[in-house]
This record gives sequence, structure tokens and C-alpha cells, in this order.
Amino acid sequence: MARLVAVIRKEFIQFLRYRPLVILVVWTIAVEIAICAYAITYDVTHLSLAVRDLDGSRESRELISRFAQTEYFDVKYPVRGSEELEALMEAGRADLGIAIPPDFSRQLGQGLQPSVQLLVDGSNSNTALIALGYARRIVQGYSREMESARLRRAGRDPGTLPVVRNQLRAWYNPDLKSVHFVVVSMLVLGVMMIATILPAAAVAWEKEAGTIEQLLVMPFKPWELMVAKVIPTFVVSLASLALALWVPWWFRVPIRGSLLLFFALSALFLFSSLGWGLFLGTLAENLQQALLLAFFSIFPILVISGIMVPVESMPYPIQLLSYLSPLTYYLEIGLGIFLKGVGIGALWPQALALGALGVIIFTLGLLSFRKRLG
Amino acid sequence: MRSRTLAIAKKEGREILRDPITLGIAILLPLLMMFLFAYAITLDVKEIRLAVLDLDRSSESREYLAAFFRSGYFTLGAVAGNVREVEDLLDRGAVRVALVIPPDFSRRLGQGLPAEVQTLVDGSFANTAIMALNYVAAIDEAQNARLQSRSLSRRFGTPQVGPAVRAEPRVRYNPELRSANYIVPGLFAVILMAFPPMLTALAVVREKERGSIQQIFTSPVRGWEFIGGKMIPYAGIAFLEMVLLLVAGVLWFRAPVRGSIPLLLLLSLLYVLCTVGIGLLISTRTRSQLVAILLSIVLTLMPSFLFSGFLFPIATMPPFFQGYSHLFPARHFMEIARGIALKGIGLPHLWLNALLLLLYGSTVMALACLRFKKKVG
Repeated sequence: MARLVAVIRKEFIQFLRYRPLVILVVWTIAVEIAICAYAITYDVTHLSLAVRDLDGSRESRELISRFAQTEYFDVKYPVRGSEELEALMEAGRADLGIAIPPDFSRQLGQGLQPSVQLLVDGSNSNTALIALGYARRIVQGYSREMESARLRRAGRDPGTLPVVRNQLRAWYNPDLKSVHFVVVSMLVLGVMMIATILPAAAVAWEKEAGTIEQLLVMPFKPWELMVAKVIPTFVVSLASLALALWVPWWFRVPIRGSLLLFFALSALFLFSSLGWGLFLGTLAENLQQALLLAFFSIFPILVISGIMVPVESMPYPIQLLSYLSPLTYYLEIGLGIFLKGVGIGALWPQALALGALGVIIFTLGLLSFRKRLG
Repeated sequence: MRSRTLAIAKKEGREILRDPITLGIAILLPLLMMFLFAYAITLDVKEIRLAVLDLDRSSESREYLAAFFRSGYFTLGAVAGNVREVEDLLDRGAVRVALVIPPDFSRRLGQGLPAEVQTLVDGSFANTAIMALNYVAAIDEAQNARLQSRSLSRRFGTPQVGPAVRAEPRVRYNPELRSANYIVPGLFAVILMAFPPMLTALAVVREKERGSIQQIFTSPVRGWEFIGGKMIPYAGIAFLEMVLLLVAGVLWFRAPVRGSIPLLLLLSLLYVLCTVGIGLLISTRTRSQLVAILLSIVLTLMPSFLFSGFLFPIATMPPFFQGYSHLFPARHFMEIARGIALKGIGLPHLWLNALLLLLYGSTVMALACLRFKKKVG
């Protein structure tokens, strides 16, 4: 036991002495998660809107003011010709263009259903889709009012017409700000990065320094050596997670569930990351290779795990891959505990999956580590 | 002299061909990234799992619900029996959206009273939630129009032909809103900045670490000749990456390039000058490969994704980060690549971006040459 404690102490000292790695960990939890939270936003607000109002009537101005009243659009450019509108879009200065025909108010008065053209820059599909959705809702809302007004003029009470009023409510995040999602997803990603890179580096630097032979001639059993490698990285990763909690606090992300449960499930998640890191560490010849392998294996995992787009919108084969990624479950756990405030009653399937993947990947890491030692 | 530069370039080229890791990062990784991104990132949200709680169970409520599944945006995730179940389904993440129809739905509709229904959406995935709510609103709108024109024709015999104002959406440059169309040109800008700088920096720092750079110091090779010799093969690799991505993007993913391909390639050379130059600049400041890797990750890899406008529009970032994004050339090449590929525009629109790339590239190259000192330590 004393032996084990001694070698664990050695691992801690080794980590703390290795400045670039300490800096990497500190940078990840202190800076990177926050930068990502600031930079990544899926919110579509203040899109610049170019208006081509050929009618210039009270009605057309009213419609345009509906756009200006929302936070989604900033009415920026009044244009006359269609070439002008085209040029603004080509230059990327207008995200959305709205063109109102010259006889808009006249057609509206005669009940002729004038068309309003909505031009959207599709070169960013995500923004385009959301912008188009908002714009259509604005035009439809206006159209509905015009219909009611027309019915009233015809002496018919629009109040007696059947209508379904749908009360739309977003749970867990009523303002639908993406920052909550981004903070939680970057937090879990940061934990994974640290927990993968540290064991990979811990194994690889012994190899590089040639000290792995020294360890082998010492009176250790292989499992003791593995435990000694794993425990410090485990502790450092959990400690980093605790320190990284300043980011949700800074961005006022609610922690509705139990933080204790989050740490418990994080510990479960760490097994798969540590196992993966050990595996990469045994593959690599030296520290550089270990770092490159760790970083570039994290990228695909990040893409398939639902951080960039939800898993259910991916094509089916990639969805299957997603279910093999522990990060997918850890992200759901993070969102569940932080934003939804749910407990183990709702999250047990994810916890189970994490446990199973953890056992498999950790065993893989241990086996390859032992093979390298033997 | 030029021959010295070429000699160094030749030696470097041989070293690259012998190093599987460098080759893998240079050739395989970009293609892997393209396949992952172009396949996995589909931004139009389809088949959202929807739970229904129909407390009315009338033909009206069934008709209302059917419209949601007809739209193709929603699939039936679960049928709930009570509100508790709905909450539970959302909590567990089993469904993203839930529709609750109250027991008096058909009665109120029949009496001409507004029938209230409730849509609950899981807001933790804000982006999906916004799209889902937009779909719901559009479906409601169409449903109401149908209900009302039916009622009008029943009561007055004059069917209302449609909405008072029609919205006619036109999506420019990417009418089907295919995400591959904008992911592929975006990746040109991302990948050329994500990998070549790191490879270049490692190439110089490796020699420092091994000590073989001393041989350069004692030889008559000048600083800029050495830098030039290191630059050529990595600029070549970066350009090759660009060509590979272009071929894979156009032939495999059918991403359009509406503008001039020669212009795109020409401007990508300017961009390569910038990115390889950043790598060289990093290499002059570091002595260990590990630090070079970490610096490249912080200074090129992360910003190439975050601050290029690839997936996250720069215009919605806080002002400080908008300014920060100008420190990296990726956003300018992003505009060039998407402009040429999707909008089919040319130099008249893009000259400023091109000029900035040229300035940026020559500045980092000049700095790298100045900073490279032929001295030990």
C-alpha cells in the first residue's frame, strides 16, 4: 500500500512539474470553455434586412414596421431596384430582403392576395432557415389581421370563426438562448479533453524519457502501475471539472439538479475517457504523437456526439456511431441535470450506457497498456 | 540563393514522405473531417420526436394532430395519457416536443370559440427548439386557414380563397438549403487553417529539438532561405489539401462551385501563404514540439472553427470577439470560398478580402523571416 501511495505521489509530482501540460489544463478550464461560450451562438437576432417597398403605402409601411419591431431583424437598407437588392445580398450585407410589389395596397383592398417576396441568403443554411421561419410568421400574422379587418368591413364578426390558439412554451430554457446549451456542452467537452490527454501524456512521456524500463524493474505489479497512472489523472480531471464550474456561474446557467449526482456521473464518464487516453498513450511513440492522437480523435467524437447538431437529425449510420460515443450520454446527463433539473430517475439509461462503455473502453486501455508493459 | 531554398525544400519533402503521422494529418485527416462534417451536419431539423396528449379524442383533434405528422417534420414519439407522462417524456429526452389538446377542444371549435392547445418544447437544445416552434407555427397557420375557410363557406357560401397576404420565400444561392453546399466551401477555409500551420511549426521546431538546426546555423544558408525552404513543401501540402477537398466536395458531395475555380485556387494560394506563415511564426517563438502543438491548437485550430463564420455567424458574437475574429485570416477566406462557390461572385466583390489576405500573408512571412535568428538558444 505504501508503495502504491509513493508511486501515485510520484505521478502527481511529475504532472505538476510538466509545465506545458499544467498550462493546457488551466487554459482549458479557465479560458477555452468561456471563449467557446461567447463565440458559439446559434441565436438568430439582428439580421440585416433590406426592404424594397415599391408601394410606399400605409399598409406596406405597417408590414415593414412589424419586422422592425422584432429583435430578429434590423431594417437597414431601403432599396429601389432589384439589382440593388441583389448586390446587397451578393456583398453579404443583407441577410434577408423583402420586396413589396407596387400595387400591394390596392390588391389588398380588393382582396386579391398580393404576394410579398422574401429573399434569404441561403449561403448559411442554419441562419437562413430560422430567418425564413420568423419572416413567414410575421407576414402570416399581418395577413391574419388583414383578413379579420376585411371580415369586419363585410359585416361579419371574425371573433366567431373557429381558431386554434397554440400556446407555445419552451421548457427548461424559456428564452431559447443557446448560451445555456453551449456552456454545458463545452463543459462536458472540456472534461473529456482533459481526461483523454492526461493519461495519454502520462504513458507517453515515460516511454519518451525511457523511464518506463525503470518502472518495470521496480517491485510493482502491473496493476499497481496502472492504478498509479490512472488515479492522479482521475483526480485532476474531477478537480478541473469542479474549477470549471465558474463558467456556468459566470453565464448564469442554472444548476437545477443535483451537483452531487453530476459529479458521480462525471466520475463514471471519466472511465471511458481515461481508458481511451491510456490506449492512445500506448499507441504513441512520444508525447507529441500522444497529443496529436488525443486531439484528433476528440474531433470526430465531438462532431457525432450531438454537440454541433442534435443526434436525431443526423443520418442513420452516423446516429449509430453516436450511440457508441460516451460523450453523447454525458452531454444528455449534463443538460438534464443543469437545465432540466432531472435526477437519476430520468437519467439511468444514460448512466447505464456510460457504465457499459466505460467498462469496455477502460478494459481496452488497460489491456493495451499491459501488453506494452509485458 | 534560390538553389539553397530549393535544396532545403527537397530535403523537407523527403522527410515528409517518410513520416506517416505527418502524411496522415496532411491528407487523411482533412478528408475524414470533410466526410464527417458534410454527413453529420444537417441543419434542417427533421423527424423531431413529438409526444401527443389528446384529452379530447374527437375527429377534430385527430385531424389537427394528423397535420403535424403529414408535414414530415415530426414523428410520433409517444402517446401520453396524462400531463405527468408528458413531463416525464420531456425530462427523459424521449421526445423534444409535446402537444397537449384539452378536453374541450372540439366543443369550443364548434361554438366558434378559440380552442386552446399547448405546445411544449424542450428548450435545452435551443436551436432545434426554435426550428420546431417555427414549424409548429406554420402548421397552425395552415390549419386555421383551412378551418376558417370551411366555416365561412358553410355559413355564407363564400369560401375564402386564402390568406390576405401571401409570403413568397426565395432562398438565394442554396435553394434547397442543403447543408453540404455551404459546409464544403466552409471547410476549405477551416481545414487549411487547422492543419498546415501545425505541420509547418512542427517541421522547424523538430529541427530545433533534435539539434539539427545547428547545421543550418553553421551553413551559409540565410534565415529567409531556410524559412522559404520550409515554407515551400508545406504550402504545397496545403494547396494539395485544397485541391483534394475541392475534388471530393464537388464530385462526392455535389457541392456547387458557381464562380471561377481558377480564381478560387488562386486566392487559396494567398490564404495558404497566411496559414503556413502563421505556422512559421509560431516556430520562431518555440523550442519544443509540444509547445508548438499547443500553440497551434490555441492560435489556429480552435479559431479556425470558432472565429471563421463556419458554423457560428460572427455577426451575432459580442463585439470583443468580433474584433478578435479579425486577428485570423479564416473569416476572409470563408467569405471568398462561400462567395465564389455559392454566390458565383468574383473579384469585384471580393477584392478587399483578397487584399487583406495578401497583407496578412506578407506580414506574417516577413515577421517570421525577421524573427528567425541564426543563433544557438
